[in-house]
Amino acid sequence: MNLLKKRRGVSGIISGVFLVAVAVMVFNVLAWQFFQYDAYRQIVLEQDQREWERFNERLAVLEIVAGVQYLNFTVRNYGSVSSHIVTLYFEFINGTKSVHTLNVWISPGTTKRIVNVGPKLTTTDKYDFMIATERGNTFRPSEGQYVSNEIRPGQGQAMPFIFGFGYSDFQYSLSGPPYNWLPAWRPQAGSQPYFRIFLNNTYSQGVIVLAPDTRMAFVLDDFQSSNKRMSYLISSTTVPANSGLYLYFTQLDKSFGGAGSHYYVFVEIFYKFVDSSEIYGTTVGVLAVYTI
Amino acid sequence: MAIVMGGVMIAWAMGLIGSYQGGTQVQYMLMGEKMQEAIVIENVWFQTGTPKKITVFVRNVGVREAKLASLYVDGTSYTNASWPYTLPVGSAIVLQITDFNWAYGSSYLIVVATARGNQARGEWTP
Repeated sequence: MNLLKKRRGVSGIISGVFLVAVAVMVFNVLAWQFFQYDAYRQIVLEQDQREWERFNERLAVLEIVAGVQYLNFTVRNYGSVSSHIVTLYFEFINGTKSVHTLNVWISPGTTKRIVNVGPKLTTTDKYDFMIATERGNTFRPSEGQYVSNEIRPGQGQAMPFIFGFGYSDFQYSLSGPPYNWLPAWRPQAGSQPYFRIFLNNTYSQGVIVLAPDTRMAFVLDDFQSSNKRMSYLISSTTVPANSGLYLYFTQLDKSFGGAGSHYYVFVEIFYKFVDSSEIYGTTVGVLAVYTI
Repeated sequence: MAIVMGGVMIAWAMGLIGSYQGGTQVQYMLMGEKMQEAIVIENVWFQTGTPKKITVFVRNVGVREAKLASLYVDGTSYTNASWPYTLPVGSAIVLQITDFNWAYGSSYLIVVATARGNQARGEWTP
């Protein structure tokens, strides 16, 4: 009661109360703003985590099986996060496109086979496809190259060079440049054509195939050496690592015999690595032709 | 008198702070929602035929529903009356542009934008 009766000092108390009230208000505002910002930072961190996962999702499409009725391939997850493959985009070489739903989970470091998906295939089909994950990443076997469903018996040869035995991998042309290439399995009787052969280099470095020692010998199946015909590599050719290209050969030195002549075709290849002078020699599978 | 004026001042300050907090909260909410939304253009098909078409596959890879507001090809909008499209989390949508006379070998910048201002963009060549 004495305090209330004394007028002196009351204003100090009142202003002190207001000061404390203002201080509390300022503190509340700062604390509130801190919590709001903290909540927002949490969202940003979660988004960063999702982005990190998206950038670290790595899949490889491997071992696409040829000669099947539906797509059959392997996926390897070499990234650091699990992947959920949800879509298959498929395109035939003629431009026909389709999209298919997938539901495949694949853990980091594991391999999974995906079979019997996509549209029905024939053995002559060539196509491209792409798989998409739930994170929006897409993966395809190779950029800009179509996959063939054609069975190639040469696949899997443990050889420095692989001849794929594709129908158009061995061709002849009756005329010189400009060439008019046709499959060479049954060349024209009596003709004296040019040849080319598609060769795959399985080395992980480039090789130079050497002319004119690289050559084709067409040996009539009576095995008389006088019935041999030769075609030589026109010029030394560099075949890049793990890829293939056509090697062009000179015009046959002697015309083919009449219709129905059967020939064994031996392809001798002499080569060296691009960074070495050591010369190696090999052959690819022995081919056979008959004239018509 | 001083008490009354102080009370009025505190009430005014609280109103001011409340208004500030409300605005800031809305801003943080919008920024958070925008951050949680993410879309990607998964694939683009350039289709021949008459007329030529472009088909764009868009997927929502965020954790919030996205509302697709615009589609641009080389800066030209191809949004029509059926827009906007709502895209639930994890799902994909197919957007088609009909009657687009694309050419082989030319590159086209395709941009899909959401109502929150996020974009997915990429250059595609038929």
